[in-house]
Amino acid sequence: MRTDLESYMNLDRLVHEPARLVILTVLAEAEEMEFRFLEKVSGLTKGNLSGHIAKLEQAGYVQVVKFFRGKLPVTSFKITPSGRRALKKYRKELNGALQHKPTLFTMMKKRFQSMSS
Amino acid sequence: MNDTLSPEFQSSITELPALQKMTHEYAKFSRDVVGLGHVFGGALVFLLVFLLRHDSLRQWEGILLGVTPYIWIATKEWLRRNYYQFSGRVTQPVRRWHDLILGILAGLWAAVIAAVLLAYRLAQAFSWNLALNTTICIAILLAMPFLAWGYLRAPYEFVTGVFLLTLSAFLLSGNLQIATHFARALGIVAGIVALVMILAGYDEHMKFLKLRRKFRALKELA
Repeated sequence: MRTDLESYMNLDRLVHEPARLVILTVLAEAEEMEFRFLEKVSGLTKGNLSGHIAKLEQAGYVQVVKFFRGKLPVTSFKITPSGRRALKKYRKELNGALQHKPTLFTMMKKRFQSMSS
Repeated sequence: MNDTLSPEFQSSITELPALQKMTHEYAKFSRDVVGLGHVFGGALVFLLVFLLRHDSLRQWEGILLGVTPYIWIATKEWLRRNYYQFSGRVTQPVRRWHDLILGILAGLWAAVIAAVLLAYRLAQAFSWNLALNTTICIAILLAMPFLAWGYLRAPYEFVTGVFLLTLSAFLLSGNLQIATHFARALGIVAGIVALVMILAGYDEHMKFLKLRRKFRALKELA
């Protein structure tokens, strides 16, 4: 496989999914965030959001905090350090894959390959 | 859909960097930014400095004025939680060093004030009316670093807040004369900072209104 495609294929698919990418990106901007806010910003339905959060929690990217404010149950989320790392790595890899520029070595290699064939 | 939602405006609220920015702006209202809370605080500085310029204040009026900084802090916190964070709480990443430095500075300020008071007392420049008054004054000065650490985060908020709390320590302990001297001595500096705080608070509130409009538009788009 070509190396530029290889880096694209190796992207973290858990982060790559658009809804989860939005969730992680938005969560990375805060220390802690309540469900209500994330629901509004992401535009996801309650069920959809819960599903994605469950997957991110399972991967250890997000921490779910449940508590009571008075008598009302509140759910809030925190991005974990590994979640931040995964998001950073994903961005770097995606940028690398999209802005891949051939190096002098790869250009010479291609030239030799075309000459020999 | 609302006609005012132009494609440019829509992209300014639906693209990922835009959502990031909106979240960042919204999270600011959990700590440093309080909009109208800053406007009220600045106005309170002007009110107290103005009233304390007159010697005609009675003891109970002084005590009443001494309570106002706590009403301001409580109002500020209420606004932060219930008005500015209208769509659920989002907290800004904690800046522990920043908060710690503010607490230490407030502690140093309280220590300086306490030392000056002690020096005056030793020089018999004034006498405490009651032991209870002394206790109240010292308790407020001791509580100041914690109040600053917890509630006075923006630089102008810190300066005006410490000024108001020091004033409150004198007023609540019944030392109206010292409060008057203090307000006269630092009134101009506190007034300048309070003016900056009022302008900053107004600007923050305008930004909040813009942000709220974006959130409402998001709801319409959903």
